[in-house]
Amino acid sequence: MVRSQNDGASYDRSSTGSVGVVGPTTIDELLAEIQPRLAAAFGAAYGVQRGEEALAEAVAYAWEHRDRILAMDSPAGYLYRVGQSRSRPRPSHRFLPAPTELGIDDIEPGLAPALEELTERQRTCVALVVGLHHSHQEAADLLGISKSSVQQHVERAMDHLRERLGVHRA
Amino acid sequence: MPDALERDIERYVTALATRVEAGSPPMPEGSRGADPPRGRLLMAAALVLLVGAAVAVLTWPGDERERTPAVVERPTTTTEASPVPPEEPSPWVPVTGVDLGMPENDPHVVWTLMDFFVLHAENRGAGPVGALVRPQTAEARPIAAPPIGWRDGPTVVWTGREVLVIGGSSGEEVEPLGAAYDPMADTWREIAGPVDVAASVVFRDGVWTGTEVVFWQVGRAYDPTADRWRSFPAAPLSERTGAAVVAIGADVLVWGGCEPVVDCYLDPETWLADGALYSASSGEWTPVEDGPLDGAPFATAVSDGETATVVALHLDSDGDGADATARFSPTDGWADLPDPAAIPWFGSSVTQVGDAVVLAGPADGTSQWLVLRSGADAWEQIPAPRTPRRFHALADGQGHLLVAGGEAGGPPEVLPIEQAWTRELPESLDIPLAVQVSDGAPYLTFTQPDDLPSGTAYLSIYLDDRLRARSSASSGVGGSTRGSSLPPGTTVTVHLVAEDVDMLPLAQTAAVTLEVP
Repeated sequence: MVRSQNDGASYDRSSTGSVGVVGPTTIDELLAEIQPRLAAAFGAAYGVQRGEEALAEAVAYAWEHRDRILAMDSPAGYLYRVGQSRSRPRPSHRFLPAPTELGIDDIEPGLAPALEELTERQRTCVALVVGLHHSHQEAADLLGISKSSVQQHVERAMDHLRERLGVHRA
Repeated sequence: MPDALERDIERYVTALATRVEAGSPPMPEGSRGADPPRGRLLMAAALVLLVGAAVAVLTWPGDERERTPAVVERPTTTTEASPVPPEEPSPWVPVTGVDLGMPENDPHVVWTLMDFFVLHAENRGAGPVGALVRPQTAEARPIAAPPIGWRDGPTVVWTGREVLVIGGSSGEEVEPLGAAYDPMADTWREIAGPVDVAASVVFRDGVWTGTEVVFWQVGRAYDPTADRWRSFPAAPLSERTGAAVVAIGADVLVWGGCEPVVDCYLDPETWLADGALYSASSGEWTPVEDGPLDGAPFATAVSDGETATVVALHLDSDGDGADATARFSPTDGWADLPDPAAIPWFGSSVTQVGDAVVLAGPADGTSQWLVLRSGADAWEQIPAPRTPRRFHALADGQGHLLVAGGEAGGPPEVLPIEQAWTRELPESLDIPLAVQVSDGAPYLTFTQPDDLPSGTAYLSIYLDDRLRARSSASSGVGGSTRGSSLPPGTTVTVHLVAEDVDMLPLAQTAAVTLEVP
């Protein structure tokens, strides 16, 4: 049995990924649990505008197909794909808001442009693992990739960010 | 202990997620009953209405039991877009005139001066069969029978005068090694292999560099003008299959592939993420490493003449999230590009259309055709052919795409590119014209400027929107309409168009009106 590190032990998974016995029983409970993760992933991947749209699509789909979603092994990952496929790409080279636009004025101002230079996958992995402290396995479940890939994306992304922002490991 | 950067990321991501959640309206209480949340669905539909629509049919790879619903969005000019509009007839036109509907994996299509050259070289073990297809009419006409036997995987390239068909394998020695087809005369000539290479050696994965066909694995290059082979140093690469091989101008990039072991595509340990660049000017190879792409069992690449777009093709899904697309420049190195949807793309084909790249497939039968336009941050869906394809051939010529063959067969199909995506033709050319008179006959001349768009192969003169002359940009001189009469005393509207090697317009001059003396 593998226990997720940061999900409040809401449900456990066997090593084969099947759902354990303590899963959310209503779509409300499920969404309350995974919506912040989806919001961070969509926001990091696409920025605020498309991120909002992707999240709305994912939540709408979850409500429409709640019985199926609740029975899934990886509902967060499934809904992430729904949001990805149902939201529209926007041709923009700048899509992440500046920290001041989010009400933060005392962090590295070059962070948003540096994050935009990452690949979508790297950015999303950093948001989930470094930003929200989710485990590599949770990020992997959401993105539909392996745990080792998540680790690799995070390492590459953090190396890039450190180099780009002139930050050295403590 | 998190460092300052990690703390900044944490605060930024938390605020970003909060903003995204706040902007995504909560589910209304009334919609939480036993029925599906109609209000929520309407909200989603309204969002789609607001954002317009793009073509997208995406499925979640992997577990069939939990396949993500196909999402279909199509371009529309109305405000009545819905998340799943009805299917529209495919704008692709089936080719008639010659039966080319037999199944064949990896047939060949190249653009010649006026027609697509289509070749089924394997043809189920019968002799190779080919045809020329006129894109404007989607009609094919047969060509003279090639003087070579059936073969799998020959190299087929257009030199500007001939179509070369060289190498491949039929399980035994192929003799002659190749043949060259002249579409103007409808004749073939045989091509003998290099005398210093054993006849049992298989020539595969050759690329045309503008003057010769380079076979990187054998270390030989064929010059069709001199009908002569030369040798060059072997690439500093391990033996491999499925690598991307592409000419970037006169240089050759080899990247990726997997070790030549049985079913290497099943073993990620055999997937290679290195490559090498052959410089035509120095005659030497340079290792290409540290790219953003992870190893994949298959790779493919296309070039715009200055850079190459490399696509890693995975078998099952997206290769565990590995980066799948990047651009390589011999001068600037690697740059990451947006990845297409995470689905199995092996068996897909790629072609360069001006500054855009078309990816056509994929292997899971969902028939997703995508284009990555220059500077875009995502691949866009374009109409797929009527017949789902994989292991097919794809090329563009004179503003059309042509797809042929594939595992399931079906006739070739043609699509005007303007029906696939909108291309804006910039009026960025500035080419002064001069009126000359020779033996009483007036004609126009121009001098070729130095600042033509990258990839320009031809300059065409249009008089009153009718093509009157086309000159090769490789001469660097210019051109004229001499020999094509201009009625004295009339006025004509003239514009010039820069075209790539497939005669795709890249840029044009503003139209000017001239008085013919």
